[in-house]
Order: sequence, then structure tokens, then C-alpha cells
Amino acid sequence: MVDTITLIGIYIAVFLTLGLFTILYKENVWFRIAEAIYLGLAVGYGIAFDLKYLRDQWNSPWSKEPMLMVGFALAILVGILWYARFNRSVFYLYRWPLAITVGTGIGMALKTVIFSQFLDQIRPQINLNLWLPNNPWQSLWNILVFLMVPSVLLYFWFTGSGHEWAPMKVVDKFARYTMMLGFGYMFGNAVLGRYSLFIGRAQFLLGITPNPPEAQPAFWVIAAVMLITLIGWDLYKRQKS
Amino acid sequence: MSSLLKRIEIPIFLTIVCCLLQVVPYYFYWKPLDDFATREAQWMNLIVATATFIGLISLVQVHGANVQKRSKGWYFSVVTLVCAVSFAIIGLPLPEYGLGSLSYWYLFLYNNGQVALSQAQFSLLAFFMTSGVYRAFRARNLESGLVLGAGILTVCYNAPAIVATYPFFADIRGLLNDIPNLALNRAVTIGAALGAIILAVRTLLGIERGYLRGGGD
Amino acid sequence: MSIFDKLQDIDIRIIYLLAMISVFYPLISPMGLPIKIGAQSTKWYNYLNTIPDGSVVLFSPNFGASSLSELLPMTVATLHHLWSKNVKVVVVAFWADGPIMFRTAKGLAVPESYGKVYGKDYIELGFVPNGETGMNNLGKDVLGTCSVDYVNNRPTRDYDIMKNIKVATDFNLVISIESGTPGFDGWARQWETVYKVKFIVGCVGVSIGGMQPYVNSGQIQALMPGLSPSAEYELLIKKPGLGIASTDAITMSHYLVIAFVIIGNVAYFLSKLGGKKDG
Repeated sequence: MVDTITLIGIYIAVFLTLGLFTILYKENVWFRIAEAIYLGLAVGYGIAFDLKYLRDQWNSPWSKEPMLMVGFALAILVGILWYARFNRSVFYLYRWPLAITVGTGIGMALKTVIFSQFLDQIRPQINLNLWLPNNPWQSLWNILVFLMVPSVLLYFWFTGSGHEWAPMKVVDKFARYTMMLGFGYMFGNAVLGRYSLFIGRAQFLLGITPNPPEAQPAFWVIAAVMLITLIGWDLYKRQKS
Repeated sequence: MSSLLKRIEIPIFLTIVCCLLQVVPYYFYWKPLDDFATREAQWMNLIVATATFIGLISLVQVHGANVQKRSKGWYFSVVTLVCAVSFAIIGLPLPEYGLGSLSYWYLFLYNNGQVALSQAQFSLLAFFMTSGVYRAFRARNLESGLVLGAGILTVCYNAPAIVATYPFFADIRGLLNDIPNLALNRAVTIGAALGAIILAVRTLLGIERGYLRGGGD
Repeated sequence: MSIFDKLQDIDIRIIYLLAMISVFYPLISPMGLPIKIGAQSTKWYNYLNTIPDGSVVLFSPNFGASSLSELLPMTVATLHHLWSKNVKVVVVAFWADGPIMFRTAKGLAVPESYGKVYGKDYIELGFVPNGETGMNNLGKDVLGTCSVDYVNNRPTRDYDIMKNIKVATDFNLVISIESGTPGFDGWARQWETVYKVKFIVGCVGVSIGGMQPYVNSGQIQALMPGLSPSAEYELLIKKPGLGIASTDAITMSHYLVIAFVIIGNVAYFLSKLGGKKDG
């Protein structure tokens, strides 16, 4: 048996879950309440972790040496410039922390992108074995990959009149078929992903272990209340009109 | 002085210096410079963490105005503001006052609010996807037929009972994964790498300034 | 309006209702539909099995509440597997929610029940902001980037487990359970390329496609893609959990999607055929 506050928490979770699900029926007040709470919580939750990070960093290592303390203070001062974006007259100051962030981020990615995303992909592409006498099917698959990769690259590479060139039309078509098959595959996986999320919520509503069993009665009660109010409100409005 | 500080060259210069600071020591190792680059990256993390209130302030601006003007549905804005501010306060890293991300009330709000709502919000996509599949997934021509075919074969593979009963779906899925999907995504990865390099070069040359836009000047 | 036209225009709320039934019904009365262990879960299982004793693993839960249902089963199962081995586990997240997600998973795969001790066999270092830059920082200076632990707010360097962990090369493996950016591309750029640290990735269904080039090139050593392979993995480690409990619902919901595609297309072609005949 759970304590009262935990039970209230379970009822809140069930209410919010079902509140969002009611949008499947139509726009309604339950949905609007859940949506408003979601927006608020989503904005508020991350602050805890960022501030904790700042506090931890101050405790160690930034408060250990005078130079580092100055560095920390400077970082906070530069960080405060983020908020210049809310005032048009000093908006230009907002660009400074942004520039530092973008510059460092680009540098961070640039130093290795040529290896991890370019050379490491070109290498297996070049090493594809196109002739395997004992495995003709694998040879065919390798030949297909060998042709598909450059065709998709070329499809995006040439724009405008480049596509009018006769050989490019063949490449374009081949690339489009490749992409359609690839998109279909990704779509199939997206179906699994989205249903997985819904299944998780359904398991919670039904109180399936390790979810709290108290969620199930809460689910039936709140679902009934929401359904009755939604349908009742609809009937009332229809009668009125 | 103010007009000097407003010059766009300052952030462009900062971008270039910070970018080179990360790239140069990787290719031309010199310990003091590498140490400095490491410290700069750690320092930059502090700057990014300081930006944490931007979302909250924007929210207060938009929804505060709603409440002030008593716009339509302003009471929902009150709910949003109360939730955002109270969650932010409860999450303040002051464990000595019973606050912080490990505090009882933070976890209460997170587990019963954030988890429930996030999951419910994204699981709605399952419904929209199902109705979208039914309405739009038509083999009108060869290309849409290919999307449909590949999609439906993958769906068959992803259903545990189907692939357990008809194991050949695993082979088909393997082909889809290893040939068109690999080719498409390898091309995208290579293209994205080239794009990232070009973007970086443009930024380093000061040609790419899109990220500095806004503010009316 | 012919029957085929009607079949192409089923009320959207009926579709939603059927989608709900396809998930709720098998959860309320499980059908015990068959399940076959596939190649990906086997590869993941084998890979974790071959980690040598005494290895140091960086476990990174890079996901939030929105993908908890999809990633929790594989996180819990992987933790069970890790706890059952003689390895040290360091937990660092690059998603703000990551530390809470780990704690949720830890509640279902309790390390103490395997005799693991906090600070000696595993440690939670919390969240590092700024994505890929944070990964880079962690790789260069673990103790500086995560100066105190998440649970006790004590200096990280005071813990036994951290005595020999200073930089990325002190880790033998990275396990990243992720639902987006920062994620595998950051690990590839900042850890795999620079320090040659091996990494394996558990991901959401929608990310599977984009990971394949990295799997094929050997940058990602093993991939756990989504809920179905998670269920298979639970079978492999003999710890049935939420993944297994979901398989009937996955199958039924996928049946429904297939049925709708067939209905829509058959009705479309037959109505086109009827139109031609009428014409």
C-alpha cells in the first residue's frame, strides 16, 4: 500500500497522460490543462541540472586557485551577456557568448569530422569486394551499395541544370529508388519507435509491473470522468445549437 | 565606445579564435596550447550552463503578457507560469534546504509530471502515424510503391511474432538495412561531413554570419 | 460513394480506437505470441559477455522522459548484465534528464543486489552540459569535468573507483543509450577517432537508419535498436522485464498498421478499377 502523497502523484500522472490523449477525440479543456502544465514543467526542469553543474564546478576545481576563480567569474559575466538578447539596445552583447559557443563547437567537430564521418565512410566504400566468386549474391549487394552511395551524393550535389544532363537523369532515378527504399525502411522503424512509447504509457495506465498497480483504478476512474465530460459537453452543445 | 562594441567583427573574431584554438592543437600538438584549449572548452561549458534561464524568461515574457492582457485562455498561461517557476525553484541546487534534482518534490514533479506528459505527448505520434499510414501510404507509382514495400516489410520484421513465424522477414530486413539504407545514410553522412567542413571554412572566413543575425542590426 | 471509397475514408477516431485496442488488449490478456532472438540482440549480448574482468565501462544514459518507454528495457537489461560481471561502471549523462533516467533504471536493476558497492564498483557523475564539447572535456579530463559525484556531492577523486580514471583512454568501453543528439556522432568524433575507445549504442527506432554506416564501418561495435531487440536481450540474459511484457502489444499494433496499409491500398486500386470500368 502506498502513502497518500505517492497515491496523489499516481493520480496526477494518470490525469496528465489521459489529458493529453483526449486530443485524439478533439480539442478540449482537459488537453489544454495538461498542455499548459507540460509546457511549464518542460521549461523548468533543466534549470536544476545546469545550476548544479555550475555549483559543482565552482566547488572544484574553479575555486581552488585565484586565476581559476577569476576565470569562473569571467565565465559567469560572459554568460550573463546571453540575457542581452532580451533588450534590443544591448542585443549585440548577446553575440559574444554565442560566438564563443559556436566557435568552440565548430572547432570541436571540425578537428575530427574529416576522419569519423568522411574517411571512415569512404574507406569501407572503397574496400567493398565487388567480385566474390563463391558468393554471387553478396557480390551483387556490394555492387549495389557501390553504385548507390555516389548516386545519392550526386543527386544532392548537382542542382538546377546539372540534372538536365542525360546521364544524370539515370543517376537521379537510381538515387531516388535508393532513397525511397531507405526512407521506407526508416519509416518502418519509426512505427516501432512510436508504438513503443505508447505501449510504455499503456503499461503504466494498467499498472503492469514495475509500474504502480494503483495506476489501474486511477486510469478507469479518470478515463470515465473525462469521457463522460467530453461526450456530455458535446451533446449539450449540440442540443443548445 | 558603444558603436565599437557593436561591430560585427568582434563576435566573428571570437568565433575564429575559439574554433582555431580547438583545431590547431589536434594537428600541431603543443602541450601548453592543448591545455589551454581544454581549459577554454571547460570554461565554455560554464558559459553555456549560465544560459539556463533563457527559456524561462522567454516563457514569462510570452505568458506573462497573456495574463496581463487577459488574452483568450489566459488562465492556462497562469498554470504554465506557476509550473515553470515552481519547478525551477524546487530544482535549485541547494540540498541543504531540501531543494535540488534529488529532492523529494523535484522527483515527484518529474516522475508524475514530466515523465507522464513527455511520454504521452510522443506516444500520440503512434496514432497520427497509423492514420497517416492508412491515408497516405498508397502505391500510386513505382517510387511510392518502393517506400510502401520497404516500410511494410520492416514493420513485419519488427513485429516479434511475425518474424518468429516467418523468419525470411529477417533476411529481407537485412537486405534493406545493408543495401539501400546503408547506401542512403552513408551518402548523407559523407555529405553532412563535407557540409560541416564547408560551413566551418565559411565561418572561419567570416562569410557565414547567419548565427549572428537578430536584434535588428 | 462505393464501398471501396468508404473503405478509404474510415473515421479517424475509429482508427485511433483500434490502435488503442491493439495495445491495451494484449497487455490486459497476454497472448504469449512467439518471439525469436535476432542477430542484433545476440551481437550486443556477446559483445558485453566478452568484456574482460576489471574493465572500466562508461555508461551514458543520453535520453529523456520522452523515450523512456523505448529505452528503459534495454537500459535495465544492460545494467543487469554489467552488474553480473566484474567490471567497473562510471555513469555520465550528456542529457539533462540522464541522471534521473539512470536512477529509474537502477531501481529496477539494483547494483547492491549483485554485491556492487557505490564508489568502488560504480559511480554516478551526473550531467555534463553542452553535448559534444562536454564529451570532449570528459575525454581530456574526467576529474575536472565531473568534479563531484551526483549522489553525495563529494569530490570525485576521493572515490576508490576513480583512482585510475583520469582520461578517455582509461575506459575500455562506452555504452551510450541514446535518443538523439548528443549521441553516437559525438562519441565517434570525440572519443572513437581521438582515443580509439570502443563504443556500443542502444537507440530508439527512428535512429536505426542513421547508425548503419557507423556499424558497417566498425565505429559502432554493436547496436541495440529499439524495443523488440530489447525484449530478445532480456530473454538472452534470462531477466524478463518490460521488453518481454511489450512483445504481444508490439505484434498486435504492427498487425494493425499492416492491415490499414492493405485496406487502404486494396480499396484504392479497386475503386480505381471500378472508376475505369464505369468510365
